[in-house]
Order: sequence, then C-alpha cells, then structure tokens
Amino acid sequence: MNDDDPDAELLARVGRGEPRAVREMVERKLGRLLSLAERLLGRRSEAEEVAQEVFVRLWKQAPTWQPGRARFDTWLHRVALNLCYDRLRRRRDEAADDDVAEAEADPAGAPDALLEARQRGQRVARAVAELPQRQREALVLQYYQQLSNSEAAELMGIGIEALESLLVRARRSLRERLAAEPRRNDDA
Amino acid sequence: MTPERFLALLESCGADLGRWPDAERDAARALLERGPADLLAARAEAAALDRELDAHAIAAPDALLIDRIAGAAMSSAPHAKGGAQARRARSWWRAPFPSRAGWALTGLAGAFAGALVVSAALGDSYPPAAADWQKRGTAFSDRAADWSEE
Repeated sequence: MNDDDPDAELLARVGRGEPRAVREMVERKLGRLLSLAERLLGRRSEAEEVAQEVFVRLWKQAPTWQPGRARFDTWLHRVALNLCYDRLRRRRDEAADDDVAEAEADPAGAPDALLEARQRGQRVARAVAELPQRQREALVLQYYQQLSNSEAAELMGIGIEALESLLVRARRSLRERLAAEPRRNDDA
Repeated sequence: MTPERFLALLESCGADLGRWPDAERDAARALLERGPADLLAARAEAAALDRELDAHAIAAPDALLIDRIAGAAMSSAPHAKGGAQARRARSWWRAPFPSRAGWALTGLAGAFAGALVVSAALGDSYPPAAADWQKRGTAFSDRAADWSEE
C-alpha cells in the first residue's frame, strides 16, 4: 500500500478490530464494489453477495495487511474481480439460459422523465452486457470505476496497449449497438 | 502529441481528458487549444457516447444494506470467533443502546415478527414469503462461512 493511500488510516483501524471502522469502510467502498460487480454480472443480488464476500475477506485479512505494494482500492478491485470471474465461469459451466441483461419491469405510474431515464439506462446496460467479457471488464474498470489505464491493465493482467485496444473495440461496438437498437425497435 | 495519438486516446478513453493518462493530458490540451476542426468533431462524437454510457447508473446502497454487510462481515470471519476482534464486534452489535446498525437489525427483526403475526392472522396464505426471507439470510451466512474455511 502506498504511503499516500487515502484508505490507509481507516484500514489500520479495521486491522485493529474496530467494528465502527468496518462500517465506515463498507460505507466508503460498497458503492464502488456494487458498481463494479453489478456491471460485470448484470444482477444486483449477485453483486451484493460479491460485495459481502469482499468485506468478509477484508475483515479476515486486515490485521495481517502488509503495506507497501498496491493501493488498497486496487486490492479491493482485485478481490471483487476474482469473485466475479468465479461466478461468470460457473454461469458458463451451468450454461444458464436466462438473460442476465434482462431489464426489470418498469414501475407502473413512474413519471415520464424518470421512466425515460430508466429505459435509457437499461438500453446501455444491455449493450454493455452483450460485450465480450474482456472488453466489458476493460470498460468497467477504466470508464465506470475510473481507474487509470495502468491500474486497469494491471488488474486484468495485460499491458497498457492491450487494454487500449480492448477499450477501442468496446466503445466502437457500443456505439454501433446503441445506434442500431432504436432501428430494431422501430422494426418490431 | 500527434493527431493520430489523440484520436487513439479518444477512441479508448473517451472525451473527458481527466480519464486520459496523466503523462499525455497536457499535450492533449495543447493540441486542442490549436482548435483543429477534425479533432474537435471527433471529441464531440466521443462525448455523445460518454453521455450514453453515463445513463447506465448503479443504485447507491442504502443504510440497511450497509449495516447488513458490515454485520455479516464481522460475524462470519473465522479467526474472530474466539478473539478480541470478535468479542468487540459481538458486543458492538449487542450494545444496549444500538447504533444505526443495531436499530436497523432491530427493525428487520420487528418486520419479521410482524410478518409472522400477519401470517398467523391470515392462515397459511403468507408463510412462503417469510420463509423466503429467512432462506435468503441463511444463504448469505453460508456463503460467508465458505470463505472462513480458506
């Protein structure tokens, strides 16, 4: 962990077994973990389970944390990513035939603007979910999680050039999918 | 920075220079200040895609979820079972004047008890819902226990 790691102090308190520090850490990081896991897995309930597993590991390992290497936030992403990989692998093995990007039903009576925003979000979520896995990972880490290119590349175990290539393909593909979708709807 | 490199970064990182590599950001700004029409047009196109991507928002966690996850983490860690860490965690969750987390759990217990009362009042129509709730709570505990064996 770097000396200037913004999470260092709180992590030390977690390591000393302060329950309130654990809650503070959950408060600080849960949104980021859900943002990562839900975009990769496409299911809120699974994202919450992944986040919970990450914090179980954190509670378990914080007392023996060795500072000096990666930033804590990067470590957290690494653990969450591995848990997401496990689930995606299991899904492939089970050949699940349900649509992970299936949009939830729109709430009846939602105001038009809210409904429209929700539908736009679901449309993008579907397009992101349809990306090949490595492209989706690159986009989620670099764009949505706002990690630097070098951090995202390190987490994915690839070079920066390879990451940039994945990002280019992901964005091109999304542009095409999003442009095509209204036409598909018109045809329906 | 060459226009080709600018376009390559635009294609990979989007229109917001804040997401570009630190080492290339100033050069990109300098290039933009010269106002090349083709690069500005490409940047506007990338910004449009960024706006679309931003529509894919993830709901922020509420206090109940934060409390549930913090509680599950502390109560399931294996090395904490007999240690000082666990004792502190347990005493915190059993404090006589519970914190927000404690109140949240109390609320959940109350809701569960309420569901049972309603269920009893209505006969057998609603027990499945209460059972589902209980099952889901157990699934989380089991999953945490799996990690404890590592």
